Amino acid sequence: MQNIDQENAFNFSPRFNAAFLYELYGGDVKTAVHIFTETYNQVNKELVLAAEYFKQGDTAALKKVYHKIKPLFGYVGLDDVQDMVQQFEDACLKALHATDIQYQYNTINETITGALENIKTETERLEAHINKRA
Amino acid sequence: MKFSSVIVEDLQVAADFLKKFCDKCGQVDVLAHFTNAEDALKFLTENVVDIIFLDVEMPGASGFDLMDQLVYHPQIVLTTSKTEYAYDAFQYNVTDYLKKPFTYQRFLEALQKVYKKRETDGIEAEQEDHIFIKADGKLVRLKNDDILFIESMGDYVKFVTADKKYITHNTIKNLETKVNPQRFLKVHRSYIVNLSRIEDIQENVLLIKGHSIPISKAHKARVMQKINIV
Repeated sequence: MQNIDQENAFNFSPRFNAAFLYELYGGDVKTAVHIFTETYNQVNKELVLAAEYFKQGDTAALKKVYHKIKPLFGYVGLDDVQDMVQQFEDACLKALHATDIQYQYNTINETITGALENIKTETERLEAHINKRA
Repeated sequence: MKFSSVIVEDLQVAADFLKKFCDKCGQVDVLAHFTNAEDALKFLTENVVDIIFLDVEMPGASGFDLMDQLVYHPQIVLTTSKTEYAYDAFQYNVTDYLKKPFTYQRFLEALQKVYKKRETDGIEAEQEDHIFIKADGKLVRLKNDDILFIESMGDYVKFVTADKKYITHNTIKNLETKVNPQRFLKVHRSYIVNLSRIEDIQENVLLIKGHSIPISKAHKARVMQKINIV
């Protein structure tokens, strides 16, 4: 979002789509911290809701939750996770019962749990970068 | 001149980014942010904006439901994480379609489309100085200047000029998109008026050549924006 100061630029970990993140945030590391933190908190919150909907067998509500969190992974440069959430969303749409998508549900949650760990670690790196520059 | 806008988006992160982009470009004022279509509609009934940055899937009514209920036609920039809505977006004649997440550069491209559409709409509108209507078993040419107002009569509408009335099979909803938007404005679900023929406005009624025409609450803000108040 602003010209990148090469010397002070933050190097995103290989797990993340660095090219897109540079384009999205430029050198604005503070905004990146804000978005990474928001994403981490919101996804955690929504997963609790998702578990409840899955228990109730409400696949329509379940789909809505994953639809909502899907772009968040894009904002933190985890495009592959965003695509996988899209696939799960499609599976929700086709499912007649929640039990039909039990396997996909477990798989996507495992993926998301791993992604959240990556986001948390990257947020800490971003914060450390800010502190180093201060 | 800056564009006025609202953001209708249930994802806070996406709304934050959009607001940041609007502030950064210096060409778009964000008047409000809503997380659902219902609250946005309430605001848009009483306020007129140039652009709506609109998400499609939200809790409750969708972005398309909101567009269906708008009484005027601001430019719509859809912001969604799904490409499947592209066909519907085309049907609704939206200005642009941004897939979340999008960059500042992509946002600027959307803004260029907003400028271009405003220009094109203006040129097309200036060129249309008449319409043809089916009446009395023939096509009758009516000059925009001659039409005072158009009134709904169920499945028919009445075109009223200074010296004649024409009744034709049509609806106000259909005509709303056909008449020159620079000259005509829907002021009530049953009336479209020629803006240049309004003589005076008192509260919720306007007068054209002795005809009193009601202005509905939903259309009042748009009317007040369109007339030239000094």
